[in-house]
Amino acid sequence: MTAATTQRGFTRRGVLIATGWTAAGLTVAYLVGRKFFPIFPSTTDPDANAGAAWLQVRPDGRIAMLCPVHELGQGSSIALAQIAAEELGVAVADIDVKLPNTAEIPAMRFTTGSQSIATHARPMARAAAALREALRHRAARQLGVAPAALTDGVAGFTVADGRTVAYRDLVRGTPVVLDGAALPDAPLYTFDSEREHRQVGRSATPLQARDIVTGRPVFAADVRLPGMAYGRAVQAPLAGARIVEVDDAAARASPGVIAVVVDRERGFAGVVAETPGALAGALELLKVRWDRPAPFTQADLDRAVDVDVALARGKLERRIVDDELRAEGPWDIDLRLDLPVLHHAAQEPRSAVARFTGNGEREIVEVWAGSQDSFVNQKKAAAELGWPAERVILHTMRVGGAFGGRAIYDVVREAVLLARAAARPVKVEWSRRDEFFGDRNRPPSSHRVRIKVDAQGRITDWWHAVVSGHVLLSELLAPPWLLPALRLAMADFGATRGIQSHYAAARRRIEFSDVELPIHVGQWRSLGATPNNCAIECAVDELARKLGRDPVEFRLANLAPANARLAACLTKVRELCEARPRPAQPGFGRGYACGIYHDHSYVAAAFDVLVDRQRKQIKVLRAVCAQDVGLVINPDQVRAQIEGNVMHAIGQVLMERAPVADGSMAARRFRDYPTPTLADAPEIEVALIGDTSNAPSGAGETALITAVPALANALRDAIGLRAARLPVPSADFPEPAI
Amino acid sequence: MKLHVNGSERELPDPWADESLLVALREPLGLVGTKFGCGDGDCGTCVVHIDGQPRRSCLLQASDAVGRRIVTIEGLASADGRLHPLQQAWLDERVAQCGYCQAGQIMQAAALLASNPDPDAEAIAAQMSGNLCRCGTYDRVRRAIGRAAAMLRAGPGASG
Repeated sequence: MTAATTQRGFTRRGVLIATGWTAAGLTVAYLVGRKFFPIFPSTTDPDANAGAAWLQVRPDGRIAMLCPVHELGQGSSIALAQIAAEELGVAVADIDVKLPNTAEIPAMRFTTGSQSIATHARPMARAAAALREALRHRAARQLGVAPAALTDGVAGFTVADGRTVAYRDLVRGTPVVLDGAALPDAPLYTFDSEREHRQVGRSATPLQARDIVTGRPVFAADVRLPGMAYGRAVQAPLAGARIVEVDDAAARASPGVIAVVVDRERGFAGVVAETPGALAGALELLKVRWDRPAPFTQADLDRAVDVDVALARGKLERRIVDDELRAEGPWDIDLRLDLPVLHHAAQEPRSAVARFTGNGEREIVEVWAGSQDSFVNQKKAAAELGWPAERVILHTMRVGGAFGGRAIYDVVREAVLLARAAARPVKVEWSRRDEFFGDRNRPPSSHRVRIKVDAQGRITDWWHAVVSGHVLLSELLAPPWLLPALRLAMADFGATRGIQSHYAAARRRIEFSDVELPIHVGQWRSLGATPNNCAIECAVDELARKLGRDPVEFRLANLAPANARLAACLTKVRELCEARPRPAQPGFGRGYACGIYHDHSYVAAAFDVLVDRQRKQIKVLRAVCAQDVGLVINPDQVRAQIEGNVMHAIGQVLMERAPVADGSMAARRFRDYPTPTLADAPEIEVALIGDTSNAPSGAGETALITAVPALANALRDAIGLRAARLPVPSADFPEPAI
Repeated sequence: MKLHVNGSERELPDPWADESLLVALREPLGLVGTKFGCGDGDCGTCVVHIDGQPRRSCLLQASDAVGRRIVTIEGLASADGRLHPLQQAWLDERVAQCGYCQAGQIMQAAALLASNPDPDAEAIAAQMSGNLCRCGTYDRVRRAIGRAAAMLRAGPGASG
């Protein structure tokens, strides 16, 4: 294991140039056979005119929308439909929303970072408004009046003399086609904060809600095709691991087996069988030995990221902020916080169905899969086959929970390779064991926060040192052969998300090292923002206590300038909390935290807890959250996201830690990795505040960055326990003082 | 081999008789509303009713269910298409996020309401805490069960 704590500086760039890749921007590639095809994750935001491809008016006057974002349960699909409905003067129910395939829509950005609404709201509104105005002109011609004489009606227009014309009367025979190169500018009702909105800012029934409660097929594994077989590959223990040895004799002889596929060059070994049961039986018999990693222990992981070990060797690799700190005087707070490896533990196992049809140059493969990036899966599957991308059609399916874990090319690869080998349609559905063992985990991180204040309690000196495993500098961005160079060339900008604190300080040092670990790593809801903000908010909370200051007032007094929106969130949370008097009960605790996610989303949270020290039981009573994400398209969906983040915070503070045993990651079933249940769910109170004339910003992960530290701070308040590591099992609670 | 599912007899083709009940329902019979979550009985995503009891279909063999009445999420609504009060309450409370665990949650809750028309918070927690939801919809699950229970107590014809 490499503890990347040495000074590398310019040599990193040198390595990257030597390999033929420059560090200007981010250059990535995907390795296929011996050829290099650069295949980027779909990071491109839709441009102002992109929405032209997303909407059409059908002959019956209904609006059809190709959803330009992946639906993971975050509800962005319905929010975008609400925007279209607002512009077009129709009900959301009058819009038929379809999750598109890659042949139907020119491009989709990967659905990550809570950016769906922030990046798509305006293009959607522009397209819908342009469509509305095109219809108005057509209506004006039909009625022989000026377009300005037509006022908006319901799914149509009205004239002062009482005549009306419906969209369906305008599209018979001649479809309305928008010019995607240059949409005409039209008034955008969605963003007119003076206007009374009919759709935006209200609740709406989410996409596929009725299908879900009645059991209709919506997920990839729900797809059934004639002649379909069942396949699955053996999960590698580490990205880029190579196969050393395969014993497949017993698997080949297992009943119901159609094909055993071993491709050493690709590091791939899998089975296709007639039924899922036959498949599971054969996979038990397929023995694969990998070249890495060497066996490791929990202590190895802890040591690899140990921030004090790294600091003892000198500076960390990157000084992100490097002011000269005041040497004199002790640190008023000096707090260490270590965070563990987390699994995604999404409820839906990764699934994909692949079917090849046609011959020769006309052969295509259709793939049904739920992911956070349909187009990168399409392109990588095409590269795998040596085909142009158009010969792979990827049908975007609903995802059964992503949390950052579904952005890469994994299960689609299995389905394509196995379906080709078996010459049958193949469904791949990972086992729960695969889901844990093959999970691209949140890496562990270790933090030290040191703060000095002046006589008035104003923060003067700030030092945050972080060591983390990789987050974005993973197979998401580059193939295994390129990763070492990338990791030398730049700091992992996923792990550093949120590392700049929202507090003012005259002098700051923020330093960071990323280290290579012998485990799968990747993207996990909010990336580094939750670990980083957790350390910051626990340290500031502890400092306020030490100074005898009210934790909210101390934060407000020390926020960096221009943080009025954050201050308003904090003030609102305090108001909601204090609406109920603190019970005098022993063991009661209340903790606060605040933060800014991705520069534009403001949030504060608080938790009330009750700790029974005798029984070592903790009850999370209440969670309160105030969030300002600008214009909220669907408040109920934003609330739902906050509720989910509250539950994730309870998991992170009280339960979740990926176990290591027998030299490797050890979780194989849900029982090995406990997550919150209904019995753990507190009362949740949410306030969505702020000026709706501000552009919408991300809401899917925002609350998590404050919910985790707020709950940790509540435990501190309740029983004096300042957690040095998460989770804090109740067995660790200190005995009562008396 | 025949299975009695959602009020009708369904023939299970030969290669499927040795599969789990969950696989038999989903693949040959096409009742994909019941989901695979773990195969270990840990998560409750695959709950169906067998003779009125909530059971984890991933832990049963298809042959275990021969001669017994199986009800899946597809069979919960009335024959005329009217939703079960729980399904309606689920829509009213907008419970689902990703939706994957929800059929299991609803089937587990339906068994609860069949035996306890007015469950308190503790009864709900006791019955439902074996059904995992990673999206964290638990608060809404609780509310939807309360709403559906009220609808059921108000009797047929009453709407939520």
